[in-house]
Amino acid sequence: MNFSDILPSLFAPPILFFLLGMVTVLVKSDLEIPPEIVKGASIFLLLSIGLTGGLEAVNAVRADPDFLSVILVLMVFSILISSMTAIFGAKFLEKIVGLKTADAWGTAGLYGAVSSATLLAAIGIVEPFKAAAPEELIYGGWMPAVNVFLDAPGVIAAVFLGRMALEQSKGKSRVALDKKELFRDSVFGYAIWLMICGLIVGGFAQLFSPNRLESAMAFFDELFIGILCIFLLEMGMTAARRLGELKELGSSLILAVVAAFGMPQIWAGFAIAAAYVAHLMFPGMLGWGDAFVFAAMAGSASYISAPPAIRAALPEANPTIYLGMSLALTFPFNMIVSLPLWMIICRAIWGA
Amino acid sequence: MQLFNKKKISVIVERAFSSKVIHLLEELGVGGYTIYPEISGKGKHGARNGHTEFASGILGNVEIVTIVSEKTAEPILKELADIIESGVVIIVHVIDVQVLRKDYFA
Repeated sequence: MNFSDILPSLFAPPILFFLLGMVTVLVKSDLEIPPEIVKGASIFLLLSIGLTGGLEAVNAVRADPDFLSVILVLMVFSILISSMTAIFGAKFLEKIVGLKTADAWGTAGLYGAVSSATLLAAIGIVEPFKAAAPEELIYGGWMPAVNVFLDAPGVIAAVFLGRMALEQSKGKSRVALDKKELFRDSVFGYAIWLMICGLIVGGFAQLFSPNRLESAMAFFDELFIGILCIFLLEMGMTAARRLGELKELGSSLILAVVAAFGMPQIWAGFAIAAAYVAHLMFPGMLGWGDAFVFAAMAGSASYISAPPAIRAALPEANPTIYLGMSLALTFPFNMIVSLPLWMIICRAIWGA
Repeated sequence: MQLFNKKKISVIVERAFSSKVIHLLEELGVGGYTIYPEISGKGKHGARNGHTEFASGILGNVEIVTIVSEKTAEPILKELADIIESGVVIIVHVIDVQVLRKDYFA
């Protein structure tokens, strides 16, 4: 295990910008990145990983048709992990951390989903390793293809089961569940849809028009890290702004912190195990980078794409609590501690 | 110049629920509505700075305004009252207005 490899990832510009984003808010600077720019950055970044995902998926299938089975296996694991995160997360938050039923399910829904920002950061961390050793099996680039299976089931499970739990204790909610809206939000929500668009374009273009795709990819690849830096700077600021709202957790704060830091480890652990099983079933298809990105998706908590779906479908849940836990606690902790930790674990298991 | 009495209903609501409110208004037969996006403010549930935070998409507020006859207003207000009870952050107010065209506003 070569620890000197890890240091460059910890002090890479994207992570540093994230930290400085938090500092920016703490020193009360008046820096404000226009929201439209942040949104534009996120559109670029999500399209970028979608395109690469589709492109690399086609390459992988061409190299070995067994790849489709790998995706299938990971898909099944993803749906399981996502739903279990929501279900067990909710129970844990309610019984042990002491959150109200609605808040527990709302928060669990976020943990069952994927944080696009964390996924982007993870890819930003692992890409340099791949670029430095392109012949080695480190990171295939196609992992974003399973994103929707790690994201949608958790939100849908949390909403349905949460509403059922609330109906049992408080009677039918006065706000009806718009199933179409929920499905639309969780499967066709902007982040997932952008990734799917990227996947489709990347896949079909790689099949039928690889040269044109290559010129397009030059733009996306060249600017990815820089734009990721600006995006994560804003994410740091966004996370820090929420820190004050944590006091709404009251006496549950310490346990909530434990949950926010601890739950991701469990789900990431399952994800790494699942990736390793897939690796054993289909040798030569998954590198440590793939497991790492898979873990980053499983262990992250959404705070941009899932909250609107949760808010609309579980209005009784307090957004200050679920946004606070996901954005102010889990996201920074993942960025600073979990991602390096998961990288070390994946590298150790794969023997890198 | 004849003016006709109507009711103007204003609903300030979290963006996450705006589609529910609009759905409600359309089902109850409003002629139309206006949406003021990206409004900020502060109230019992805290400050809302919809325009400065990209990730606060769900907490940003919008204002939906519609002008309707008193007859149409009643069921709308009743449904809005139900929504208030369910914990959605929503501010509703009604004012009397006068318009030039009687039949244009349901």
